[in-house]
Amino acid sequence: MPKLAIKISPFYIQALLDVVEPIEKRFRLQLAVNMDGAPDDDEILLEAWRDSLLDQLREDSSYLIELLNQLLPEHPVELSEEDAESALRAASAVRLKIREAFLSRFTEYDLERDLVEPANLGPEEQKPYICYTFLARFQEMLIVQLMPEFYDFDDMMDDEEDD
Amino acid sequence: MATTSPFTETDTETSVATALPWNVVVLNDPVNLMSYVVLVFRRVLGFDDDKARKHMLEVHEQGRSIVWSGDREMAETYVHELHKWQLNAKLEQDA
Repeated sequence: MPKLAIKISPFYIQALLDVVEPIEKRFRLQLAVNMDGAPDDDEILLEAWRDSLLDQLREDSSYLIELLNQLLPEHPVELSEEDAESALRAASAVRLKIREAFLSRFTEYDLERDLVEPANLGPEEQKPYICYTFLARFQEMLIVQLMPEFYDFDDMMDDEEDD
Repeated sequence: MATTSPFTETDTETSVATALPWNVVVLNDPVNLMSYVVLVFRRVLGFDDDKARKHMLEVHEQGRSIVWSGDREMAETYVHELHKWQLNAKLEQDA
């Protein structure tokens, strides 16, 4: 079962919640993912499609908030595989919204490689950016436990030996 | 002189269109991690690691990848499931 052991201060957790909670409220009515690719020739199907996505999103994002509230420096949190997947989906949805609402001026390249300098961010961008990067690391921590083979162990060992 | 009926042609076109497979297409997005996309392909589409990586790289480098083809109902199910995982996916009938 995936386990999260993160040394994180309550102050930092609060900064994350300051960003995630308002986004979670928006998810009660608004999707994060682009639904343009859904079949658009059947209105009833489209409505059911949207409602089902919203239900899943609400469930996932409220679980993410519950999980963030459980993160304490000395207490690792153990998750079921199902809960880990829910947290992963929610983290993606929140990151999509942060990117759209706060970080759209940055390129994919800069964000992917952590090239954005936090000191150069405006006050309204700082917490969202911290949250955006934290959730990416958080996802990696879960994925490495759900799918350890994705991360090439030999390469990691070579890197460590090179250091 | 041989004549052709427009109705016959329309019928033929309709049956060809119905027979064409539906594709599940995943489009690149600037947010989701590569490892996350691989995990989603494995979970949702049942891909093994190599196939999941191949399609993830196709999405990343070419902007899109057809991850499944077949009947419309199943294609809709996959697109919906990929949307649940926050991937930018769409339904497209084979040209």
